[in-house]
Amino acid sequence: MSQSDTANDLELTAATWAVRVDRGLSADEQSQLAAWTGEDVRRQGALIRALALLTAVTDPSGMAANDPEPVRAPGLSRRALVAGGALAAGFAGLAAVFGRQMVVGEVYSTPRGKLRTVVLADGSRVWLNTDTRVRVHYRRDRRDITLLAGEALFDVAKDPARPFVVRSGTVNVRAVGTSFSVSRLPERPTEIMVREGLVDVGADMPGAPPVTHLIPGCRAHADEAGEVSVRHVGVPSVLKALSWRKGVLDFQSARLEDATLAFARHTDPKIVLRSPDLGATRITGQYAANDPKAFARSMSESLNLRLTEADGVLYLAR
Amino acid sequence: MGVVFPRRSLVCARRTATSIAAQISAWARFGQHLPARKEGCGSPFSSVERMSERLVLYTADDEAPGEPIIPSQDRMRWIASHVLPHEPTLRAWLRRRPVAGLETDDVIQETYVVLGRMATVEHVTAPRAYAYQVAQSIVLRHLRRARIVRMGSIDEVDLDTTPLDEPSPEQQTHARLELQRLTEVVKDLPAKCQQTFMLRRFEGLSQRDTARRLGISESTVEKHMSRALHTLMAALRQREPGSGDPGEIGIRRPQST
Repeated sequence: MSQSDTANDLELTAATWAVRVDRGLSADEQSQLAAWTGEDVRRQGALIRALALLTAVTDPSGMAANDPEPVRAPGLSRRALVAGGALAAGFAGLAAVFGRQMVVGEVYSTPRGKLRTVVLADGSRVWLNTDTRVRVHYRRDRRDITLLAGEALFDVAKDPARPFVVRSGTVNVRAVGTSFSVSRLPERPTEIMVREGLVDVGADMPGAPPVTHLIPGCRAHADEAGEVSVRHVGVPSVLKALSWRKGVLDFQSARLEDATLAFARHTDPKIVLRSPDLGATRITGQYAANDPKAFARSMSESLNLRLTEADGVLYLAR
Repeated sequence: MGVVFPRRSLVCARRTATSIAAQISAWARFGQHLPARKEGCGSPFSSVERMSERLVLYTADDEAPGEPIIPSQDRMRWIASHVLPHEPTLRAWLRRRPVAGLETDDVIQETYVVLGRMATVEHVTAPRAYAYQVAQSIVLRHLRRARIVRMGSIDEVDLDTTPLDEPSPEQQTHARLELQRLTEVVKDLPAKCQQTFMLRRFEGLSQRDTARRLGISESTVEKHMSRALHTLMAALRQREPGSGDPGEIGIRRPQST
């Protein structure tokens, strides 16, 4: 027995061996390892534990039901979401069976006010925000997604041999296995938020700057020429910004004007700001995406504004 | 109880022998409440209910030592996805039932050895409960070798709680997410170490590609990975259950029907 093995020492040695086992052992190393584990059954256990943990963190897609928190879109049961995903996966499977040539891509979309989640053939998951369209085209050597409009979050199944590329206009967002969102709204630069993993952003343009590497917690904007501006806002902020998946709009010091636009993307009635300086007011809070009226009421109370309604439009004024 | 003590242990102070006997039967009684006993499922624990009579134990050192066991990728995934997330609760469960001369760590390590060495896990329908059973059998074996137990160090064992069925899918997912969240400790490591871990973890780059991308040697990549993994192992060991695993999900009072 090796009484001297403290938990920490034991773990350190086990970790070292686990990493070596992972990359493959030489014959010499094999006998060294045998000598080490042979002395104490706990070492063997520590090695297995280290290997399992290495598997858990380097191969998270291999873990069963490695789901993010389940999402319930307003007005949609989870069962319906799951069924939709399964159906989509079925279509993708069919497409794969019928040969790659005829696959020109499947389009998935959401109408205004609806959310949707789609499970792709490789297990990758796409969450579509309101009023969004994506085209999915899986090739042998890469997974091509085109964000035609709107906003989507991608939970990408890891496949180093087939990069996952999301195209938004001329902007390409490239990943292997990770979780990030891309949004393409009219008259705005493409916005990318990274929840997990690493993502490269660049433009498909001659003379475009080299790709920008993004890490988790990054929020980046990329224009058509491939100019990328990055701000590291932190993962919690990114998660908040992605709460649309739960039918919630979470504003963190957002401009009131942007907030009203966010509601307009989801549902009627429209909110119109009557005082020109109002748009720049910063607001913070969580609101149900399908209830602009409640939001307007809350704004009128907290900012001391006058709220009126006419012809299905909500007006806010000082 | 059909337990036959070796003569020598009976020579010990009577009190010790009695309390050891009591403790063995106490630990063994767990078996009567243990879940997931499918008829004829053929696991070493299909007879766990008879454990209290026979103390049939399947433990790590019944096998020939020496040969390092490197379980298959599939087994690693199985352990990673079904057992590892519940390690904090299992540790807490063991800690509440201290046995002199037996560290929680030791029981945990041996549990992994048993799970890694099993020929197949196909018959295991309730992996978490199974892991508890394995841990329990290791404690029992230790107690059976009563000579190692020092006098006066045995306290009463809390018997009212037993692990029951598997956690709900939500709890399962939660426990796994907690395990994924563990990787946040890597953020406190030096930048190169962190980058190495990230490339290997998220981009699935090989050791060689990681080295090339970061402009460092492969052996340095290996060192960084070892360090990151070591940090994670320590963090998992120190993880308190409850913060993540919703409460004592694994431990409930036996239901009286």
